[in-house]
Amino acid sequence: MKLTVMTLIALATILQAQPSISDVLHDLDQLYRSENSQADMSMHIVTEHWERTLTMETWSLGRDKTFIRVLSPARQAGSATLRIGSEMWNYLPNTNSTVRIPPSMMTGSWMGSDITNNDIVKEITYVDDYTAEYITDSAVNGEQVEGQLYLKLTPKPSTAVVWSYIVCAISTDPTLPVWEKYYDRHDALIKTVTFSDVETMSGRTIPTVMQVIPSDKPDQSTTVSWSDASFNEGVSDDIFSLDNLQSGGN
Amino acid sequence: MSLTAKLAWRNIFRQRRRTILTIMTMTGGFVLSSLSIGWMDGSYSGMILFFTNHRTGQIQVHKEGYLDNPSIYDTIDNYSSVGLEIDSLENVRAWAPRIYTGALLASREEGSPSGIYSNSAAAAIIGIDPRLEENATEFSNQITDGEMLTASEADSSLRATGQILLGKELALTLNVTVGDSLILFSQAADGSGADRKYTVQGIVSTGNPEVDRTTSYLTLADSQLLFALEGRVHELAVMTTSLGEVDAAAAEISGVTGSLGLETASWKVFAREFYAGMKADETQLKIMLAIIIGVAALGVLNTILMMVLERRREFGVMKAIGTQPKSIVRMIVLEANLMGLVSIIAGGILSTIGLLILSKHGMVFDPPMDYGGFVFREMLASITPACYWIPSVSVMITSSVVSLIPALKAAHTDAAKSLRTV
Repeated sequence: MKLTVMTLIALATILQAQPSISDVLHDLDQLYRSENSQADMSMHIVTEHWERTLTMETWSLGRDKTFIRVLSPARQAGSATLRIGSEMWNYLPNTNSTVRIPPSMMTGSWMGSDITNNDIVKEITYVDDYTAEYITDSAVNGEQVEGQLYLKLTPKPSTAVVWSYIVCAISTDPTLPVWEKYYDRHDALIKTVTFSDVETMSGRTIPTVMQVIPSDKPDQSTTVSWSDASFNEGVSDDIFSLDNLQSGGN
Repeated sequence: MSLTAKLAWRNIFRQRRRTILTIMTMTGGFVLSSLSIGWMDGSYSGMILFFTNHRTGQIQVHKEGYLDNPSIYDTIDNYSSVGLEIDSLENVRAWAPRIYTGALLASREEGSPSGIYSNSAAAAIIGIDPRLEENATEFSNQITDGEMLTASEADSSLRATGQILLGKELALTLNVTVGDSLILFSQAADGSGADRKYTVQGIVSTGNPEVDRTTSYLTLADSQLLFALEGRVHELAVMTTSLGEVDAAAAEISGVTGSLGLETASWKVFAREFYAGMKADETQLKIMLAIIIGVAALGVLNTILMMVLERRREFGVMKAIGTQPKSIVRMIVLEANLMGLVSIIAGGILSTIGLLILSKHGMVFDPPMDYGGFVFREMLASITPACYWIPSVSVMITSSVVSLIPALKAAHTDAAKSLRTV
């Protein structure tokens, strides 16, 4: 009898150590999201053939409105992307024109980076579009680190993504992603996303550096760094319009 | 003329009906093989010539590895000096440099605010040198509406509006016609954004809707500037003086390009799917020819055997007056050969008439047939030496071989026995 009680206590401790999956998913989903947000960031792209850094300002409103304006380098300054729901538009300052990105190009690269148009549009949430389970198999998640949880996220059949599952490492207290590994259906790694440089911005603790490394091009990477961010401080709906896009930021 | 030859010559006029039957069988075989060869040769060389002359070139030069895995970065540097050197080679008729990339093309929807291009489609971009391309592939023949690209301000300034040619189906997708404007949006080889405004200069119809649905054309200079590929191209297409010179020319070009890290491939390599299909069909043709010749040979064997049987008494007499067996063999084989010769002349005349008709009025395919990426509308026969020499040699060999067995039989006729029984 004593043994059973002990076991129960032990079991309870273990269970307590693992927060509920839905809470974790919710936290991950809300990491960079909020009712509205504004952020300054830079994107450093390295490829085998060239290397460049773009700085930009971004705005978001609710789950389905995003606006990104490129500030530098000079040749691309003024370029902007507007996303409303699943519609995506690019403003091209050279030709003073706004071009709609067709659905067939959504898996294409955004501004030459390893981030796809789909990643920008990203209407997907872990809570709604994935099923998740904790995993402890080190064959899957590599070396276990004390205090990290490992999740395997499998997209639901209705979720249109090119990978078949994601393994992610999460640090607890607060719940933050450490890395995400995307796999195809042959269990081959597609890309690795790592999160680092945790800082508190506008009262919210977030990893301020995110790096994407495609596995077929190990010399290539895209690093996004947040230099400033504010959450829930109010963003005008006027920002998310074709007029504002076409204004070129002037 | 020897006695044997004289006898053989006279013998073929003795039983006219039998002779005519034999000659007709051999002539039939001749004409059938000749037409098959002409038809096959014509359809393939026609297809190869059409496709290579109007699009690909007979030989292509790329950076090593480009053919297997094309990348915007795998370029031929100093392309004009390489091209001019290739152009000076003996078997080369013309050359054309090309750039291959992709972009998003967007046109305005009717009634939408100015500057908003909401009608967009992904397209392959081919940069061509208008003068060299015209010289090599007569590109302007494929322009069904509007005009060929010309040198313009866009070749040297990113601010200028460029000229673009669109595939017919692509123009339909974008809902534009000649004179309309559209925006090209892509990424240059240095990672920067590439975008420019274009006026539709013309509509291109290559005959292959799959190609025309996705392909657009800019001037080479414009695309080099836009995609940050100054002085560089992805492909040199080379036209040889004739299809027969392709291998020789490819070897010459390899001599020029080998040391530059470039790869030279003939159409047999870059259109390998088509080439493999053609080789398989060639084997089929050979089997068919063997069957035609076999059937004709059996017919000839039959008539000659009959003839020998009917003339047993004659051979008996010949033997009785002391004719050598080998003279009889020679005589019968010679008779068959003489009939073969007549068949070759008759077959030659008939085949020429047939081939001339088939080379003018071929088989029309509607809709056009796609054969491993080669699209063709009409199949025409061509008159080549093979249409004559292969059937001729076949007729002579079969007439000799087939008549040998009956001839040997005749030569061994027992004079006394055959004279008594018949």
